Amino acid sequence: MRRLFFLILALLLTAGPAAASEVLVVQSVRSPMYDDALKGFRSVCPAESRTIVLSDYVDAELARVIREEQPRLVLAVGDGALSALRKLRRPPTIALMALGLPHAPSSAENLTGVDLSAAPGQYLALLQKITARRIGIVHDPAKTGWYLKLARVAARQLGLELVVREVSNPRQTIGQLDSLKGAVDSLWLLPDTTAVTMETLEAYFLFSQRESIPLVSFSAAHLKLGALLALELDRADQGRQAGELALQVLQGASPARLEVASPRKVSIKVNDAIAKRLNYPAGLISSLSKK
Amino acid sequence: MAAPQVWGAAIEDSQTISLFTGEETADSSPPLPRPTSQIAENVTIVTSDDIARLNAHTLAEVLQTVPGIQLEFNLRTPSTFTFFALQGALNSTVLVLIDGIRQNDFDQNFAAPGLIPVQQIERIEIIKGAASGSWGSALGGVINIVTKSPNPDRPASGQVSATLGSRFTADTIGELSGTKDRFGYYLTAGHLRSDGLTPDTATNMNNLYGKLSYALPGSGTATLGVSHLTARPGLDEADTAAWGFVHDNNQNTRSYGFLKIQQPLGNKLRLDFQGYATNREDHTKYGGLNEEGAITFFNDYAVKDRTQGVNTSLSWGDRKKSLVTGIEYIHGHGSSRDQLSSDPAYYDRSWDSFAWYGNGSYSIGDLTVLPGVRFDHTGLSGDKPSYTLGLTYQLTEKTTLRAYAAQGFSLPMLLADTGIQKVRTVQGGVESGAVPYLWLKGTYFFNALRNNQSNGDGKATNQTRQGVEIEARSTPFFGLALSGGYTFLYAKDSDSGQRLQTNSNQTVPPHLVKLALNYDQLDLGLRGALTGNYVVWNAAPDYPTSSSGIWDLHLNWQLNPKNALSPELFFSAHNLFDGVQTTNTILYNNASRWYEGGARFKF
Repeated sequence: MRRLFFLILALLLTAGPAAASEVLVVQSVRSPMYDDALKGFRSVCPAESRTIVLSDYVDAELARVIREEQPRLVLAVGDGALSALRKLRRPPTIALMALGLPHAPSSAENLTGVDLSAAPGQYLALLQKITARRIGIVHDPAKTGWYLKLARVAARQLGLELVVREVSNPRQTIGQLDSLKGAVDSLWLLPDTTAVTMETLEAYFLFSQRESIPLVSFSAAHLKLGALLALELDRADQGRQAGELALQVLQGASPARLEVASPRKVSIKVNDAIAKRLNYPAGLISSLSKK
Repeated sequence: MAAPQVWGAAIEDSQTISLFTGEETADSSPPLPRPTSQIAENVTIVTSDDIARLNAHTLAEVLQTVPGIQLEFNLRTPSTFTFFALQGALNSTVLVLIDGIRQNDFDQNFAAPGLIPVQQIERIEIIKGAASGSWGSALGGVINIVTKSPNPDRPASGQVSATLGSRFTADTIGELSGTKDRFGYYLTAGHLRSDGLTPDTATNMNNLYGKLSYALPGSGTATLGVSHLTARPGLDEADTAAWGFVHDNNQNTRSYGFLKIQQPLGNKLRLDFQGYATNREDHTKYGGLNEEGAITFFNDYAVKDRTQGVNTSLSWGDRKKSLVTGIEYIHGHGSSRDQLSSDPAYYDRSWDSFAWYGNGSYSIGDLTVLPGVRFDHTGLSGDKPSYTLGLTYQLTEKTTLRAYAAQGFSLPMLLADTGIQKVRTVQGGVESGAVPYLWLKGTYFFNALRNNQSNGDGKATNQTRQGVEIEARSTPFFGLALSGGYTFLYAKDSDSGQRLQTNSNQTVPPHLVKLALNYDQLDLGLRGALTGNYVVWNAAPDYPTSSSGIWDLHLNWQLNPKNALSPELFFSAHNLFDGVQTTNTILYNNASRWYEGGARFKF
């Protein structure tokens, strides 16, 4: 029996740490949008990983999985994953593809990540170029209050006026949009899941058409619905940015000291038909999309 | 059980994805009930959501729903005493830990589940089978209780809840939790009282628990915790005056405090340190009627123990290869005497125990090898090496095979030292979500026990206990999900070859069935559970058992489900069909049908 004891002891001593690092990927749902971002993440951070897709399970038992896996880092992909993880005691966490990523990280949160939206300054610079001055926004302060705060600072610097209407549920959106009639010369669509839903989306484009004002969106999918411009983000590059943050955390950096990163690869997409209808000079529009 | 908040969050993600891509996310495959576990032992996890769904007051009510665990007296008044068995292992061989601190006394190695309130519990991990390679004296298994952490999202939040039921059974609980910069706190207080759901089980229990945490530089955490509990649960023998005595009540005091530090040291190294002190005092009073017909006590058995201990461990590695090694030290003192007698103490002794342990994991492809060794200088009953060897193999994405062999031990009672108890155990099983709409787990277990000490007369025997446990959970259908567990046990005396029967020395039910029908419709604010428990005792001919099925119904209704702070009303009907399930129909009958209801307010 003593022989068996020492045999297991010897086996134990061979179990020293390996070179690979360990990441637990917690993904809210399966989506090609998330797959692109994860490809980018893995190209930069080739650490060993296990992936849990929350929508695959009735009860993903994340607390148990984290305890069993003992990952050194958790990558939260999507808002569902982020909110489930924030309730748990967990290792350092990087958030990706999440609108709810907090922008005032505290050391208790042990969290950083990459924004899902381009920085407000990039949108406003674009709006300035198309000679917008009074920019209409409908948003839910509980969801995008932090983003609007940054936008106000950037707008002041550029001499632009933001005309803001607040909503707390989607039913208020159409009424608040109507109240912008005659008060704005452009519309800026924010990725706000209260103010912009699949049900209310059409109302923004109808408003833009009726008022003959340009609409700038966060998604190129909206061009065919009537948006003039969209800032399209490179999902794979957002994943690479998360991978770079992950490498820093795995090398010992505290997430609380790593600022939330803004997406760095942004391309401008234009709906030429809308530009023509709104009488923008062809040269101005082509100069935007070349940038 | 289900955690539908994850589904809700997934719906939110689908909205976001639709906004960005203009496409609906479609996932046609049915969700699995849960991910497979990748550890070698047979483990059941109970979460705070499960506990809230059951409207449970104490650990006893939660354990009664866990496959493989059977309370001997089912449930009398909440907080009252009961033995329990885990796959035929006596409760005295099952180590109960809260915040990593041993809750079993040293007198009989018993942790009373009725004296562990569930309000501060975040998670319970139940490891079935010998776990001495990691935990020391844990021949039958481990119940590891993890307490709630400070709420990281808000500087102040909390909950109050109040329950009122039959026989003025009332449970009042308050919680405060929050985080401000680097400081976090979690505080709770609770009061449970009852006039007694069975004769002479009136109870009064007070519980205070507090935890302060501080985020150290370098992602470390320091946590300071204190717990204090007092209880006066009655016992159930007042009607046995024909025996010439009345067994009146217990008085229990449990206190502990700890300081825990977790600090990463570089890339792959983490240091865990914990220092703690515990104090426990139990009085069991026996009395009878004097000439005037009033109760007078003949005995006041006072059992006391105090410990001071230190645990420290280093964890090194990652998922592919890891090693955890640590040391433990305990200085203990225990005594037992009848305070109404001039007789000398039954025992009054101090001891020092040390342990070293190392546990590793080593993965090659889909195979993981999990070796563990531990050496205990018990200070009470000699030295004891323990070892484990676990294997898991990820057969497919949805199926895991596991095997586990271990040699372990449990300490003998201080009250009656019959020498160290030993076990050799082998387990093998499969866990799978490959069958559509089902999660399944099956485990075969074999335990060879030497010098196994009984509950009753304290005699030691050699036994073998083997059996099969099957657990299943279904995917919800219109919010309804079914879960169940069946445990078959065959236990025999290894020396005589005779099959063991349930009597005052052991509890070895050959058939144990747990069923639960859970309901979750969080968009309507509704959740509930119908739970059932059935046992075949295989009792000795002269042993007064009863094995009716016991069914409980629990309903919860959050008035405005869109508002997380909306009040929640709850109602429970216990023992719907008035069954009697106990190993002792003379002294310890469970409560007949009773009701309770209440409300929770979060802020």
